[in-house]
Amino acid sequence: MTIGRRPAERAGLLFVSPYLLFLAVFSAYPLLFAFYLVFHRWDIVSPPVYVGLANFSYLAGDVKFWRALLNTALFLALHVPLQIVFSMLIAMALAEKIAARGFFRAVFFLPVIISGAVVTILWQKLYATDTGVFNQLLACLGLPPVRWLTSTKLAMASIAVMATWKNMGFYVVLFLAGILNIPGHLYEASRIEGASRWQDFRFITLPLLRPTMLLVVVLSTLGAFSLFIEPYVMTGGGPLDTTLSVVLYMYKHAFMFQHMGYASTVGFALALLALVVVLVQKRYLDTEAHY
Amino acid sequence: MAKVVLEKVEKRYAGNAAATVRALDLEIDDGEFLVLVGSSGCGKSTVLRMIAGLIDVTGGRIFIDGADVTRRPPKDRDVSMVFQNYALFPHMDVSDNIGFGLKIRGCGKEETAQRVAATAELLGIGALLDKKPGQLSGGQRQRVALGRAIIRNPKVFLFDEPLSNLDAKLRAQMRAELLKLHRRLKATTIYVTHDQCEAMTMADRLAVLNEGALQQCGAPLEVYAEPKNTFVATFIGMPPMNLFKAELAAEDGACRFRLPGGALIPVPEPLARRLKARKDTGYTVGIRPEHIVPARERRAGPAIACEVELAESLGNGLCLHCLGAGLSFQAALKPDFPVKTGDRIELAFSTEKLCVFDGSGDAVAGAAGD
Repeated sequence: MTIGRRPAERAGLLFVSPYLLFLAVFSAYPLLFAFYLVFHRWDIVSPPVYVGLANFSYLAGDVKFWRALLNTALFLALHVPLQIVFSMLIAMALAEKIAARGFFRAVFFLPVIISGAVVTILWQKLYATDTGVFNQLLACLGLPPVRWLTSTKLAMASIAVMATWKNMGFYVVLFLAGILNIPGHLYEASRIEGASRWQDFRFITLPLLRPTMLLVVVLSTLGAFSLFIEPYVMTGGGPLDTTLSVVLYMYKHAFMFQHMGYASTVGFALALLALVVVLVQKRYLDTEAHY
Repeated sequence: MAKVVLEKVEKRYAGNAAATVRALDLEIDDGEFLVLVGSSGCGKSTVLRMIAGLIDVTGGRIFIDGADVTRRPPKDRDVSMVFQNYALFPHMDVSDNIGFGLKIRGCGKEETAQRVAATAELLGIGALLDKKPGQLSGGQRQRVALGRAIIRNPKVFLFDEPLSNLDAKLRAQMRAELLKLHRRLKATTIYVTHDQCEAMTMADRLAVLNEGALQQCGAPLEVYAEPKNTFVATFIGMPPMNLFKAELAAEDGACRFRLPGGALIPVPEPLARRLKARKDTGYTVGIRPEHIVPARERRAGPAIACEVELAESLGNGLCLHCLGAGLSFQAALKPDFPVKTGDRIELAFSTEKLCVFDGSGDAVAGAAGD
């Protein structure tokens, strides 16, 4: 059957055409062009030169790429659990009948709508070794200052904490929806059976939040893989490349060294890796809950 | 098993002027099957939840097995509850659902498995132990919910409209099974329903609630035959009792009720004496549809000529909606009575079955069944 033969179909196509145009120009075309560049060397100015699989073989032996990948993996390992634990705890608190619940729900969502660059600059000030609020608080407690962003051991963890704070509101909303979706009579039944609050959480809330958790894990993992603005603004990838993420590395190759072909290769490798990780996560976390 | 006592129990929600449950006094004997019945929103589920400890009482006290449990949490009351929507844990299989209470109370795995198997066998769901609730039919889910309730051998069973999500046939079947189970376990049971058929057939005693207040508590047939007020009279029984405003008229030494259309109903002698002694003249007279009979049967009061507005055949009976002598009423006749919609027939009230209520709607003592 030919699409668009019926008037309703034609009207439908007309309605979606602006988005299709947007998708074609800003997603499909760049994606296809990037895939084309994977097999080419291109410095933006000169015409692309076909290099076959040379970009891949360079990638395989590129120590800095593997370093960036390791950094990204470390960020993921810190950020995703932090994100899940704190988002869930706050969502559980916000699901309770507490005073000014609506106000707190709005407050926890605020960082999400603030620009990433603004938040990052703000946290840079908080983390500053000499004048930062965190170190001043430590000084009040008589503790020595901590080099939050300039220590090779702490810099990535500091970025992970900041990123967790920035994105938490979004995941709190997801968890809150998941928690509120659990029917109250299940808790009533468990209370009658003698369950404590902890047992309620362990045997009811946690298992029934698995679909939400999968979503949060997948989204925060994808977010972690695309870590860029925080190290770009706060540390520039330092100290000693300890906060150099794959996307930051890709950006540097593309727009600082004009290695567009190699940057595209890094991007595709990262996308492939993210896909594998998400599929593994889905395999272990995917369950269905029937209420 | 245990006796449950409610002493002036009250529930008042903040912001609500009227109490949801008002000064409720009720005693449920050891092993008794008490049904709390009333229309939607009458407070019956609230009463059950207060007994379970799921909501706090705002007045009065609750005793289970002699102990004041008013302020105790649900887990310390030793009750179990079956919910209207089953409240099964969707992520657990049948076995885990049934054994949940035992697991929470630290019962060993082996003992839990044995007791789960025995309970499932008793309820006929032994083959479903590894299924999830989403894979079960309504009736099977109901059995699992029952299994979770009975496995702990609690002192009191609470049922909150447990059959209302089932279809009519399954409801009748489960009703019978619940009764068999109750006879077997001899457990003190409090059962909430708005379905008077369930209430009449299952209860040792019925407690009829309206607007948070107890209207009457007694054996089903006693409540049916001798309703304490007009609410109970119309709530219990299907079709409901016919009620008519009536003036007591004593003429020529005979005592009669004069109905709005002018029809005169003779008052049987013992009742007539009591009514004369009261000095009131305004009453409400009630008669059950099955106590309105064809006039030719001659065992009733004076004939009322009426038109059959609607004849509903129920298979095992005939329900007539009649209009005659200025009265609109329903009569329940035998299924083979030759009548159809639009016919004119003569019916008569079995006056010895009259229920009489005073101006405030309360039954006149000793009137019914006299």
